[in-house]
Amino acid sequence: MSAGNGVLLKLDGVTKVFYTDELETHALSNINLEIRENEYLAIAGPSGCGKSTLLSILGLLDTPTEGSYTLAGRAVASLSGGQRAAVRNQQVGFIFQAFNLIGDLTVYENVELPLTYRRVPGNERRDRVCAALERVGMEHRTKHYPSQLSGGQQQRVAVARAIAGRPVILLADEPTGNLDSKNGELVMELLSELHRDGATVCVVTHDPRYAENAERTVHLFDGEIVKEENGRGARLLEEHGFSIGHK
Amino acid sequence: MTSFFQDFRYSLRTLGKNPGVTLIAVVALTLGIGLTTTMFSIVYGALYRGLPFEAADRIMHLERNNLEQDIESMAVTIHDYLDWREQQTSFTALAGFWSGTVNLSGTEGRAERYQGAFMTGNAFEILRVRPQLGRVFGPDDDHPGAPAVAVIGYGIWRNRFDSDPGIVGRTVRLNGEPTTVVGVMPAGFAFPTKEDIWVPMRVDADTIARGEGITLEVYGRLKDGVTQDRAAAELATIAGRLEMEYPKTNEGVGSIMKPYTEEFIGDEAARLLLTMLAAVSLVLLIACANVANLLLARAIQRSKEVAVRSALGATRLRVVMQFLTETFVITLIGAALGLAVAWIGVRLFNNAIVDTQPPFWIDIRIDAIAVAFVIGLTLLATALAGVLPALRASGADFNEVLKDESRGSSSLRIGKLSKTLVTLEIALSCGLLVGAGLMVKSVVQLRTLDYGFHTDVLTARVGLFPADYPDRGRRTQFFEELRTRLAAQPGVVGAALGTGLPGLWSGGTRFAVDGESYPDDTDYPRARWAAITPGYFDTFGAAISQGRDFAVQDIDGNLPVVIVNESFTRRFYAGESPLGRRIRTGTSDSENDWMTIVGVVPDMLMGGIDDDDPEGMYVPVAQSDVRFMSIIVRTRGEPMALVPVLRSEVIAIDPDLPLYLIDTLDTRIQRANWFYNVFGALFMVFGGAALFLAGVGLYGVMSFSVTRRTQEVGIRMALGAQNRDVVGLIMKQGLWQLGIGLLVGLGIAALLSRGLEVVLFQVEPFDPVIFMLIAGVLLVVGLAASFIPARRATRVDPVVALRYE
Ligand SMILES: Nc1ncnc2c1ncn2[C@@H]1O[C@H](COP(=O)(O)OP(=O)(O)O)[C@@H](O)[C@H]1O
Ligand SMILES: [Mg+2]
Repeated sequence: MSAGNGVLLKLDGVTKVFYTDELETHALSNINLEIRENEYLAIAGPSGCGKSTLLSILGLLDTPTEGSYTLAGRAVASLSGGQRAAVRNQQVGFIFQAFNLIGDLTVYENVELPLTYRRVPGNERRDRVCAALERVGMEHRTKHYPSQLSGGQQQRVAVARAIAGRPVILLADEPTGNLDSKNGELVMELLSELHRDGATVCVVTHDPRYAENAERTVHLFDGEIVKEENGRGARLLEEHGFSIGHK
Repeated sequence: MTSFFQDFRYSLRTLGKNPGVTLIAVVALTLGIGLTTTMFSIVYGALYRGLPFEAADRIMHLERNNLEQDIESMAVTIHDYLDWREQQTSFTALAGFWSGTVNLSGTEGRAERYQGAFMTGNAFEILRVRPQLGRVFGPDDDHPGAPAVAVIGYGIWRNRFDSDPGIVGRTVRLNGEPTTVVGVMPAGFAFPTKEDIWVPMRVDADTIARGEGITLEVYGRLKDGVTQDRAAAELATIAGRLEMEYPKTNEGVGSIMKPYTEEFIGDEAARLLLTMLAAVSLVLLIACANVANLLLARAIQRSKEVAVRSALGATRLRVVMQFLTETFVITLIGAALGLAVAWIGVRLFNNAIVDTQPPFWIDIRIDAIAVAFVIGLTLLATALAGVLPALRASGADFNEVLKDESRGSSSLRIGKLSKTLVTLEIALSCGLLVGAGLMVKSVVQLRTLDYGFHTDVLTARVGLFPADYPDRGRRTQFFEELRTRLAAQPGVVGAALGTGLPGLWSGGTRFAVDGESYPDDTDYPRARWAAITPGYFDTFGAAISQGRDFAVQDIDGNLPVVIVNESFTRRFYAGESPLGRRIRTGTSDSENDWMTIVGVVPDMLMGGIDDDDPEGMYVPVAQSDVRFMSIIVRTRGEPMALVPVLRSEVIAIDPDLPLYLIDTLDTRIQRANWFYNVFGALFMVFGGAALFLAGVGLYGVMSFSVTRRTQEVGIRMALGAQNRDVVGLIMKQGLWQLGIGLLVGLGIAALLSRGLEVVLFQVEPFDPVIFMLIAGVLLVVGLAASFIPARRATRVDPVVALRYE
């Protein structure tokens, strides 16, 4: 992988319109956004401004109504459903507010899931699942079911699941929304660590404290980007003489 | 009570809001209740309604057995009857009868043959029935030498005598003898089973040696206060006494007594009918399981409503009652429609068996008893289908539900219950379908059976009576003349007569093989027996394999001859040529002539199509003493087109001689084996309904499961699951249910097929092809029922599924 600040993904004039019962909702209007490799980006804004929609498009869960999207050098806006599933599986790691672990599967099986869909061979799968669980400190709970874990633990498992597939980008939609402040901080710390280790991270949050962690924050309002600023994280790095990017 | 009506009204509204669920539930229950009620009405009408007479359950049928000789049932000789009648104290009286042909001829119309009963004088009195006109028999009517009288049935009176009000006292020719009509029975009376006319038997027992003569079916009415057990014990005592007194004729002879109607339905038919009822109850169970599942799914969707009700202070009982009332409303609609289905089903069944002339008391209809049965089923179905969902719905922790914590996506325990029900459905329908498959295969076997002889021949029967044909010579002359006349007709390829027809049952006799010795009378072998005219085999297109056919010179006074079939040759001559060897009918005291074997013919199903004892012999009509013959005519064109010619040729010889049982042999055989067709069709309907219900059930559960797992599917899709992964995920669940259901179902099928053995024709109860075929069909239906919801799961929009508000 090329080091430094190559552009990882690029949205160009992306618009998303929902049509429901003769009602048009312009969830996103003319979004232009670049995320560089190993960047830590926060998306902030009030409820209903389009943050989740933007993240869905970034994660190829949804397609833009208009505009283009290039991910890792590939135009992905008009891929078929199956192709998008493959891209999600290999290049995107999701972390949700509601954790969204599968209740019938153990911790281990939940983390294994994206690798299963990628048909990763058994040995390698085991290694990668264990590594991911160790990374989030949940290696001692592999046989547990989600309902037997606390919220913070569940979210750490969700992070492990997101990174097990070694995605090019981690997308987190209000990952702390269902957690108390202590567990929320733990999870945000985990994301920062992952970022320091080289991951590209994009977090949706309306909590300004956490937005501070990011190098850059994009402010959305009514589906439009109204402001961009460099976050505290970025300033800290600059103060200590590091360049943005990694290695 | 007011709360019930509240619940009732609320139920109607709720059901109206979910028309899909309601419709499926109603269809399922309509099928289940309708088919079960149909079968119940059949079983009740055939087995339990009984004779339509006063206190008819007191009327018993009596016969004999001889277990030492492996004879499980035999009719009663005239002397045994008289001794029983004299010595017994348990019955008001004992009567006897035999059934036979009654030919009526005279100025009133064409000579016609009827099924008649020859009865003792007290026969009507025991039944406590009254004639519509005139009188029934009195005690003197059966004396030897008494004037010839007859009581005619309503049908004969109306059709043959134009409901002549002056019929009583009129003289008719009955089996050639002038006979006075003394009474007319009311419509619907056809005792003993399906008789149209009644004649007193005028038998002089003194002229008959003990153990000889015609045998009787005996019946009597138990005296008040006498139990069946006591009567049976008394009869056994009498039989024992007769055994001591007349060891030569009565050694080993015992008595059997049972309720009258049981004699004429038979254990096998009763078992079959009850098996069918059990089978169709499975359909109802499946329907209930389906409805339970649908209601369970709805109970889940309505947990919120229940929680609100509970929070507002509804007791658990109250909630349960609300849900049960809803089930009751659905079941009630299903029951009303089911009653209509049963009404149609019963009509169809009656139409299907009308040709078979079942005993007259068999009266299959939807009556008060059937309605009572339906009401019972309605309550049962409400309980079966409603209790589980109601308990589940009322038992949900409302606190939990109201908090509406939707973290994670753990499946609810309810899923297991639904899956178990569907697995059960698959198992039950598998059992039923295997039954249906076996029976359909029987019908196919029957239809495609290679008889080895022509069945597209015209057949009819005639009976000659002593009044017009007093001796063998006259009878033989008639048969021979009829044969040559028919053979000479244009369009006729061949004509012959025989006492029996191939493919239909012929009686048998004991006999001796010349050179063999038999220590005991019971050691003499048995073979089937028929008397035939020359040309019999030729007419059926059966080739004589060794020796010759009978010829016109094979008559009394010439060498007694016999033709045997191939099974006979194999068994008694080890396959060597039997030509020239001799056999003799009868046992040690036989005075019959030794007969020389002059020909060998192929086996021609002398015992009927499903016969285990194929050995048989044929003797020339001209060397035997027979009165009833079947006529066989093979034609160039349509066989039934020759009926007028056949009639006119008979009339040309004897205008008073009626023909009966006029049909092609094929029709006769199909009709004799009607139950394969009727029960095969019934089972097809049951199996089809079960398959439909199981398919709908599986589909319903899978659908519900997909709805329930929407979020999970969304997560999986977000993680990159492809369509095939999602389809596989959902179908895996269906496949488990299918697999377990099929395994259990094949077990059920194995049990069920035992009960069906009597209606299986050349099909093993464990026919592996049928078992596998049905498993395959269910697998395909099951896969389809799972695939459709699985496909739907792939259309889940992960964005929507994962939205967190
Ligand atoms: N699937 C959808 N159908 C219709 N409208 C939607 C859909 N998803 C989101 N919206 C609308 O789009 C707007 C942005 O929603 P969302 O991206 O979820 O906001 P946020 O995550 O910032 O709270 C809202 O008005 C929301 O109601
Ligand atoms: Mg959102």
